Amino acid sequence: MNAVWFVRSRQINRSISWWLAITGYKTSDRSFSNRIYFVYLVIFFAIWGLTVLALVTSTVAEGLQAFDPARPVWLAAQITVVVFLAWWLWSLFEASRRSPIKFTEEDAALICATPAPRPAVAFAWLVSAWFTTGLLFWALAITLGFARAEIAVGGNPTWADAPFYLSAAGQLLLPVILLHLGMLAVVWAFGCLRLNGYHSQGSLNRYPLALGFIFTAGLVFGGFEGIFFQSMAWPASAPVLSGSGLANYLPGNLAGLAWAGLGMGALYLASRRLNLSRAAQETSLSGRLQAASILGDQKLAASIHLKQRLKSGSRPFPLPGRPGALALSWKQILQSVRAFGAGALYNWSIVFALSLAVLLAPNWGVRGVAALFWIAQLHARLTQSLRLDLDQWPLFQALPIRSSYKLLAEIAPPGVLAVLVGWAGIAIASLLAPGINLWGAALLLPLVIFDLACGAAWDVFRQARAELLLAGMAPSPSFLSLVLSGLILILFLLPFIFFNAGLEAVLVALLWGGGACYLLFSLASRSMRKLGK
Amino acid sequence: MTPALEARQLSRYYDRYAALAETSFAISANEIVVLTGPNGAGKSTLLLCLSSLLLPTSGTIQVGGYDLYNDEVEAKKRLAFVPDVPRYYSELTAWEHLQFLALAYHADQGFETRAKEILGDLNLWEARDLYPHNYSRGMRLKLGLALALIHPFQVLLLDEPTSALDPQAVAYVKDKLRDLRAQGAAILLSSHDPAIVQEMHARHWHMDRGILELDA
Repeated sequence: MNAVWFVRSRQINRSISWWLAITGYKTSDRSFSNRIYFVYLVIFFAIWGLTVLALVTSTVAEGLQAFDPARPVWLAAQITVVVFLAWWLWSLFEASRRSPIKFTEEDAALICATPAPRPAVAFAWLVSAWFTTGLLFWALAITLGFARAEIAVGGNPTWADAPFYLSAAGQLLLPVILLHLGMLAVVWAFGCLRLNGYHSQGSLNRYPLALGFIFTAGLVFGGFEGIFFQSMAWPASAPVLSGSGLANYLPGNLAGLAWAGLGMGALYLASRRLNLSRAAQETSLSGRLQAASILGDQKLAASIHLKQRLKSGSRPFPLPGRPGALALSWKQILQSVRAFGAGALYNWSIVFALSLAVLLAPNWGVRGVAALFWIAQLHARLTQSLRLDLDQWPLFQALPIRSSYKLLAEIAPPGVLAVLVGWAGIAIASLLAPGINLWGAALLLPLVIFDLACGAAWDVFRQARAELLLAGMAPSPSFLSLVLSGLILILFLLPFIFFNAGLEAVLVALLWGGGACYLLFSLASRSMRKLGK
Repeated sequence: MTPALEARQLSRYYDRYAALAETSFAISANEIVVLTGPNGAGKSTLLLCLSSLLLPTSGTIQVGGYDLYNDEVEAKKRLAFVPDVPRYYSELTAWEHLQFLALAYHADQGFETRAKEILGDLNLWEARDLYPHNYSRGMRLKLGLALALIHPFQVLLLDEPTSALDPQAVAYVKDKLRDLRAQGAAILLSSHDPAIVQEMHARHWHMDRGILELDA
């Protein structure tokens, strides 16, 4: 076994072990019962997967027959071809900008620094990429194979039809596997070509763009049946059409085999001068990002993503700052401007959608569930700035600013934004359901938000330990703050039960909410002063 | 005369483990104290307690006569701390970090001149508009020093400030510490380099297994 495959096979093993651990299977356990459990897992997931695909099949078959009652299988084959081509062109475009072979930082230090044969590295990495990118296509092939069988049996399958279903799926699966492998190998060869030696073939991205333009134009002007699209897409459509029973099976499979053979030959030739160091430079950060996302470490993923976006540096922020506690506000504006992106918009749009759901829910059960999600989202948004500052604990704690001012500076800006988003939700809800009187809710909203923010901040301080803060790991609001906020909301609603929805109820809720604000803010700022346990 | 830094019956325990056994001491203005000891002796724990990053299990800390927890604002105005592994905001450049701290400490008068001088002395001027996450370890430590020096203080705490610096920067740090002492600052730094005690004409404290031996 060569050194490259020795390392890669262990990485693949570790990755498989991680996924198996989620299902409760331990790869290190050699006991008989554990092996039996593994067999059970394989059978369970095989049946589960096939059942899910079979369930999807009915909908797919009905959809295909609705769009093209005369030739539903032909339509399915054309859609498969278009999906393949779209994925392939996008992958080619990506490979013209960044190495398709992704290395971790450990790979960069170990594999990429050795004189290992480059084609061996490329093929060792191709194995796992082929599997992870192929799963979707294989599932698509099985679904369309099932759909073809379902259409053939007239939509009323029996157990006796199972072999026919399986053979139809297998018939399409084989050429799809070959075609996908060949296309992926071509993408990798294209990426390797760009990373030959020191020279950067920056102009390579023109080719996938041009091909994409030609295919799109062919589709738009001629449709699936247009001679232009059919002749251009023939190398990809031949294996798919044969697997769908629309062309001779052997020539189609030979075309798939040709794809796989030519693709791997091209990869071998292109990877002989592949510069592994440059590939690692381009991908080690995105590798970390991918690992953090898979492991659910959203904070690390967001931090890596932000650093990727910010690049190396920036000119000084033009907004003049003010001394004292207002310096914190200046810093927050700067951070918000630099970190602003689609992610932030998406997060606040979720808060908006959930506030609408709370206001327009048809009953109190649905409203309660929506309110819990709304609180959880608000907690994350209201304490985001605070947690970012706690991550920089030595800098933040050293500031000669009173704890209560620091706390106010942290929760006030997101709090104001939350109130504005909530008011927008109330305005929209009033338009959608004119019968509902929401002026009381609009009046109380700032107090509710402030109470929730103080409660969530106190919960963060309660969990914070000096060791974690020094390592830049500020805690998130826990389940306790969710319960606390739920209770606060219920107490806001109590006056409305006792006094109906009149002015008295709003006044009592305002008094209660104001008192709760004072108590929770005092509690949170006192906890902040005693941080560092 | 009020000591610049005074700790009374200070201790820090992790359950029963004494990371810092009870101790009392004072450091006056115009004084440098070098704290030595093996890894895990408790040097960083002591510095973290003195800089309010770690809550002591017992005892009080006064900076310039102000209690670090009861008069936190006045005490922190007089204190600067350079950790051994500084952490920075991802969104702020080195220059903006300096600007932020100068504003927070009400030290914005003459900020640009001071910042330019400090960054120039530490060879960071050319890299002032870079984000610190792109810095090398030594550059990050230098920026930590710059952040401490950008605002006025009476007490300076440094956790192994020369561990990752180039010889030129080490020489600058030593000269700067002597200057700061001459200007009235009280300085406590931890180091694994025993020669620094002689070079700085400093008091020498030694720590081992959480026990602080004054004037070793």
